[in-house]
Amino acid sequence: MSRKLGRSSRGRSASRVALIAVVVGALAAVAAVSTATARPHPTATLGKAAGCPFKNGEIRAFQTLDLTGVAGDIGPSTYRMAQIWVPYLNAHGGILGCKLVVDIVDEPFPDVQQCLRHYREAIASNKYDFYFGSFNSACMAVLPSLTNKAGKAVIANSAADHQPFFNPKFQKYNFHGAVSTFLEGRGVAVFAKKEGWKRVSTITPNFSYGQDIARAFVQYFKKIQPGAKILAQQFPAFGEKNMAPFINAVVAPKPDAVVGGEFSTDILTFWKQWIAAGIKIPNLTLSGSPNLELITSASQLPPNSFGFLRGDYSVLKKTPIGALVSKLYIAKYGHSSHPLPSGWAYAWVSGLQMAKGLIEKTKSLDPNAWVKLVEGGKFTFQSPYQTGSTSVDPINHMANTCVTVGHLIFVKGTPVQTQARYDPKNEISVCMNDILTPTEAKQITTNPRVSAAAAQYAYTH
Amino acid sequence: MLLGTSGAIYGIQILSGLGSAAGLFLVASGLTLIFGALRVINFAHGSLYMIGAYLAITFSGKIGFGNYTFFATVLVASILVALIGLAAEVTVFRRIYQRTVLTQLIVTFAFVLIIGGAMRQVYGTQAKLTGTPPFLKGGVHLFGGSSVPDFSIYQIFLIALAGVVAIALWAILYKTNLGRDIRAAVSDPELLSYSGVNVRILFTGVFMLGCFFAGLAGATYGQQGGVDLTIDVQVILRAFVIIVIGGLGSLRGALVASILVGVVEALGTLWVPKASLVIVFAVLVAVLAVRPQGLFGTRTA
Repeated sequence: MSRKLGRSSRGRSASRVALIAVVVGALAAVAAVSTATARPHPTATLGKAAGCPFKNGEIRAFQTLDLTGVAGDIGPSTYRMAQIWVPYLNAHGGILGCKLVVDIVDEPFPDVQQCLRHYREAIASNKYDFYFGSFNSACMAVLPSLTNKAGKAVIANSAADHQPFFNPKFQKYNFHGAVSTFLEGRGVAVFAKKEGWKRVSTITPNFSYGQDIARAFVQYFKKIQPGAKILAQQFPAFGEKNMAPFINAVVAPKPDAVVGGEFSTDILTFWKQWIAAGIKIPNLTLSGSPNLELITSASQLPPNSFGFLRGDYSVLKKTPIGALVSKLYIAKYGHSSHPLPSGWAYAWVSGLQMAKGLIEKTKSLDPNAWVKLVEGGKFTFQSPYQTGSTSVDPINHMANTCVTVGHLIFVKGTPVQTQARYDPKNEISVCMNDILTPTEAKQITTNPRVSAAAAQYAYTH
Repeated sequence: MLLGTSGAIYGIQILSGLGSAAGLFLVASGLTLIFGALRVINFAHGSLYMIGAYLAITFSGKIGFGNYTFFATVLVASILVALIGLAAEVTVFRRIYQRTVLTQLIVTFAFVLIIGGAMRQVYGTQAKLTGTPPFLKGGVHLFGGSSVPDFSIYQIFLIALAGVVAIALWAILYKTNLGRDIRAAVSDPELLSYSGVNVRILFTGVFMLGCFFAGLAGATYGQQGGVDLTIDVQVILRAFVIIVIGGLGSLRGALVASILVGVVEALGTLWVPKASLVIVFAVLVAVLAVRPQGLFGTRTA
């Protein structure tokens, strides 16, 4: 039985239909993914009637988050918090009586171009009063150029990248309400010193985030730990499936510990292969909910594992704002797959709280008014990171937030918390004012508008 | 101790490179088989790999990753991916065999998007992690003192599996009537059809076999770390580099190129850690500069 490979006209017609169906299906799939936009619903009388001084009675902000990309559920868990906290604020009077609207659009990580395109379109639409930073650190490194040029403020509350706040990229409409790579790297260095580690290797992802945190760690670790040595540095690609060559390279020089910034799926790969390699020395990664939820047995967590995070539940539940947002989150999602707010979720709230504070105290959406307030040295707001008010550095506009660093343990059979978690007996919080003095802040950020008195006031209060 | 410390780190690094090579070959073998026989550049091969990985996670969640259930899981996942390949070939792929490369790329890329979207709906964006079957847990200490890490038994398994796949594919292509027909179809499918062979069914079978290997790679290589929705594109880019270096359609080329890329990449992490991302592409450029048709490819007019 044989059949010719040629096609009849009917066959060609059928194949054309099939091709069109496939392409249309693909476009539909793309469209479904890219329109995950969030709009909080108003729940109280807001707007002009409530005394809102701004046009349309609302304040509108824009942001991109990774909702469908490679960073797993970090973005969606942050988005959950946005869906809780924005309606909560609106139900409690909004901001100056104005309804707050935060439009969140998907930026599938690590697609920098798509992230930037969303912001360009948002700026061109002229709909937004200010912007929150992106999830992607590489996008965040570029974004302030767009927002400053447009005369709008950008508040970092997702990507931790510190580049836009230090020379030569600092621009006056940049604000940081969350935890930066600078703070993470230096916080880890403080912890490394506390543990007595001196000979250290690093392993961080090969893109902006990983390079920035490695640089921040190395520079500060050498400064605060006498005799500190960096033995090897590796930068595997994000999503690397064979970590073994990288692990071999960092472990071979016999370090006291391997300090890293691996996160999301890469932590799981890193740990699985670290365990197989039989390594017993300490490892440190960017660990936290939601990724720790995937560790379901003690054998999946390497011995001597440590982590750092933009605020862990065990610490932040003790602050007024941290406790409130945790309570709201757990009430809604406590029995879901992500029962606790992630470090990213707390950081997101902190950025929003910073915006709220700036608007309420200046009664303005003009970024120049915000700059003047912050650079006066007396601006504070209520963040999840501090029991009292959170100050903002007038020189670089970065809030006095805190990173949690600690030992990871596995505790079986707890209903709400993840089984793999930070050990409350061996975790520390390191805040910006612990690792940055006014003198050094002036050295790394040129800001001639800030007076010595303003800087002094901010750091002593 | 087989080597001194400095030699030991090179030893373990080369073995780790072979571990990468094994995984890459498992993916590239199916891809190059499909291209060699059907002349289709199947960009969706990585998506089939991803389906294999997720199916293995689903089954292992139901029946565990024990010593025997592991093999059952891998086999079932691979067969299911082959059946998905059957459906895709019958409905769409067979219509693009004679089309231009651009059409093939667009259609197969459409599959990447569709499968990616469907997997996202089914499994969500959260990464997945499976256990390791007891007999593949841990590592063996082959080189140097305590500072040199053990070599993962799972990677030894992957290397062995890649060897078995290479031999099996070679045997199928060069020692069986089926292989003779496949090779004849590559040269002149129309002539082969005149000799009584149902070329359409033959092509469908080859496509299914390629998909089976994609599923096998996903269910094995994919499980050595966390699994997420990006493994499709990540793996296909590397697999394409492999088959281009080896020579499009050459099984032997895919094997040699996998080893070359895996080992050079592993050693490169020691020599130029900050440039580890570009090493694989540097190898590609170097090979193509010398042999544009790839290591074992043939020049076409």
